[in-house]
Amino acid sequence: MAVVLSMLIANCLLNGCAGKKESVPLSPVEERIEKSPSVSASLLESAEQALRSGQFNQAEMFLERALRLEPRNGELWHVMGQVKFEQNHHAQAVQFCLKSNSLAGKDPLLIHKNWILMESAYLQMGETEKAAWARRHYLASP
Amino acid sequence: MASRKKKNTTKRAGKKNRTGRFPFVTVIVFVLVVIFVAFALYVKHLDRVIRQKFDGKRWSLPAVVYARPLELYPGLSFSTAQLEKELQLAGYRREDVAADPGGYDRDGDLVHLITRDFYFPDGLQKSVKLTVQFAGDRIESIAASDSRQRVSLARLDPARIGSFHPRHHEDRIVLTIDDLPELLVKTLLAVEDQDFYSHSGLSFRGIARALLANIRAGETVQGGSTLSQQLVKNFFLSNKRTLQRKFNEAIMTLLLEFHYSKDEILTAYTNEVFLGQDGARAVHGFGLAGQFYFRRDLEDLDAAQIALLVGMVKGPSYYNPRKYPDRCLKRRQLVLDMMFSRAVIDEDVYQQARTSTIETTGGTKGGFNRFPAFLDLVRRQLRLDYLEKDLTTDGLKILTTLDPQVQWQVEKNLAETIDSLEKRAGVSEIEGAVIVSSREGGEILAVAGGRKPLQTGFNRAIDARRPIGSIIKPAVYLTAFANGSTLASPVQDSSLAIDDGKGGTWRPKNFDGKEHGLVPLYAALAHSYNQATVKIGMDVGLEKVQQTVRDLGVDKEFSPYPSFLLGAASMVPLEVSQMYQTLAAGGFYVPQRVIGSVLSSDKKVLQRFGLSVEQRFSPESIYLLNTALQLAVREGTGKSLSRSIPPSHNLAGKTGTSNDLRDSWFAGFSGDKLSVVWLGRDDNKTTGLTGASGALAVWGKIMQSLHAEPLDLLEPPGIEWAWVDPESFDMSGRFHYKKIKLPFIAGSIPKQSTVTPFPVPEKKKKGPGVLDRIRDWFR
Repeated sequence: MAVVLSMLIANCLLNGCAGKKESVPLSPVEERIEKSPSVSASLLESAEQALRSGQFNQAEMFLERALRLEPRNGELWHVMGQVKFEQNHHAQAVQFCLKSNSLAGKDPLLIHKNWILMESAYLQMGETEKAAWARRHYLASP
Repeated sequence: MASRKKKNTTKRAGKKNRTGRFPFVTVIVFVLVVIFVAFALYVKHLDRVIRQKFDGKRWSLPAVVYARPLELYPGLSFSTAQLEKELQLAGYRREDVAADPGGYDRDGDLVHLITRDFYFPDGLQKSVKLTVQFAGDRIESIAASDSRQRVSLARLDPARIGSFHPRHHEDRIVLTIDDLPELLVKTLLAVEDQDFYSHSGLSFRGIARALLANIRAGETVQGGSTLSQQLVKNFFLSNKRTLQRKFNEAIMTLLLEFHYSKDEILTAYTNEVFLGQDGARAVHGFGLAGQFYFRRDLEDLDAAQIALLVGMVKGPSYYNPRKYPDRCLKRRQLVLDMMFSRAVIDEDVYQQARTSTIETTGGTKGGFNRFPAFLDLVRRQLRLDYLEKDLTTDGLKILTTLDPQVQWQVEKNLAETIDSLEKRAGVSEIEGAVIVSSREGGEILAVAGGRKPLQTGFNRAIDARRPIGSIIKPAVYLTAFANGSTLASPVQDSSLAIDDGKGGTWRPKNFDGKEHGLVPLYAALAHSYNQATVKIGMDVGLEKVQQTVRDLGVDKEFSPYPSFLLGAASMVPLEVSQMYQTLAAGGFYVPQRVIGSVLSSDKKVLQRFGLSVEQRFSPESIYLLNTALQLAVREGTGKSLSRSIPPSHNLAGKTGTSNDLRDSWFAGFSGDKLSVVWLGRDDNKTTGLTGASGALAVWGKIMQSLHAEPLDLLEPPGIEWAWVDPESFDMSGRFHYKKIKLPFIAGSIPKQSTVTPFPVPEKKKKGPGVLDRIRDWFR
């Protein structure tokens, strides 16, 4: 009896004293941990190397391959933004940064990098207001 | 030469004319001149035909379509059976010990394989020997077989899954003279044309020799036609045995020999020769025949295999090694005898080859046009950028996004589930369509255009334009969130009468015929209440909702009728899929793709369909909507999904049913994949199925078989959580009866609520914890 009672109390504490019809909150916040980071690590490294040596198309292909394996890895989307920037596709660079931010979770450094890149891309496009908006974001981020 | 002689003759005849018999001779001369001119013109015409074929494209090279390359890495959830099936599709051979590219062997959980060279858009990937160690249904490790070094990621050469044939459905792998193995050339000449390098196209010696050999053997063992004649016959002429054809053949052969070198003719012959039939596909050339019968490159064939192929030239169907092995063996032995007697092979090779059995690789249906619905989509996309002629003649290489593993599961589960649904519902002739894509990248992984995967023709995934029913509703709610509504906003679900836009009045009803009174917005979506949805849609504005649908990716004009809000608009499954892709990708529009890149026949990248994204909705609005779609599956119209996938996976989706149960839809996504299922009948009669009882059942089976990953929505900054009582809308505390905790865009939480600083991360763990289980007892 005591066990049943304590279970009831535990349940009430967790969910309010709901009956069968009770709605259970969904699990939000935490992103599922991606597959082993090493899966796309080598591809990311190759992409960064290609990016440094000016082989932007190669870099893009490495990243697309990496994203097929780890589509929710915000870092990969950010580097894709860098590639797009170097290819002079500034609008796409911004979009990839926004996508990266949407997957960055609690990675302030990544978010910071995205806003910096977005500022540069907006400046290249002559959109000074949006560049200032991006700058405010990265100045505000820790 | 021949024409010069004729000219002289004509001149001489002319001289005689002047000496007497004027009118008669003139007539004869005139007739001769006419005949000569006609003949000369005819020869010139044949000459043009010959040269056009040779100087232009000698062969119509079909565009070859490839699946996505399989990427293997330690930790990947993949079984040996899956790998074997994929390797078989890609034309790999199982051997005792893998020795050459395209071979593999398996010993329990250990697979050795040797990949083949392949030109990817990022360059040539050389063949590698790999050792893959499995542990249960996972890959434990991969190592380079030679160096024993660990490999973190291995990309296999992709499977050929189809080709776009020109007329006649020919296919071939074109080889150059340098690609032809010496043994093949020698054997071919020994058997088919010993004087090839010395005759001028026609060989009377050859005819005599063949006649003699045939008389001696008492049957036709050798043909009298030279290779050049055979080539002309195959290339330009019909199979009719008429005098005119023989005449044409002779003239064209001479012209061919006059214009082209022996090597050119030989190469053309080896690429053109017909060597069998693979369903609707004609197998042309030794290159493709080597693959088709032995799954080997030509250079890897041994003497017995070459003898078999050369022997088949005489009658590819009659000597088909799979259908008539005895006949084929006899013919092969005869060819081996010729090879030995004409010193093509020495005695050791001869003896060894004679004792070998006929070993072809069995039915190698492989992937050839095995996935017609997917290929249809590829073809339609290519037609936007390429002429039909380019697709069938230029030898393009099309690298697609098809994942055979997903495609097989889609085909199997669609067919099986429809079978069982028909039995249960007592309805027949239900058809279906499925599209599966990657959640973030928008790559289409599988397409089913009907319950019978091999049936070509009506591709329902692209062509079945049907009312989408409640599948449209997320667009209504998304528009509402963007305009200030919250998940907890109260909305009246009761009868309403509105102008139907056509001069009448429209009174939408709920599916269950009931009115549910004041309900929170999330519940109206989760339970798919029609009246509440129309209310929300009309309040926010029909045009705004239609714009949302366009922003989601279905960029077209819709009729301005309020019935649009309940899915009266018709769409094809592919459009629905694009619409939900934008939701699945967190409000980013990602164009769905079936093609990665197009390479020319000389392996240059002609076109790439790279990844692109465009944020079209605020992350917060999308987060609210996707949360509601999770609730729709968890406790709304999608609840029956729990039969195949545990509720803890938190998948998001929406059912749709059209009037009179004609169309049954489900569209939804997991952590890794988006899938849309449509069921209906081609004659548009009722299926007896709702979205939940029909399409959702198929969707669940497919997602279960694909081991769909749980969906954990990533909360954007600027979201706050609060407890709400969905009946009283009381926000004053978490201990209220039937309360639910909901996300709100910062600042939108109604007054009197208790703001929780962060949500209870109760589903962080994959499996249910002890507390979860205890809680479940009380549910």
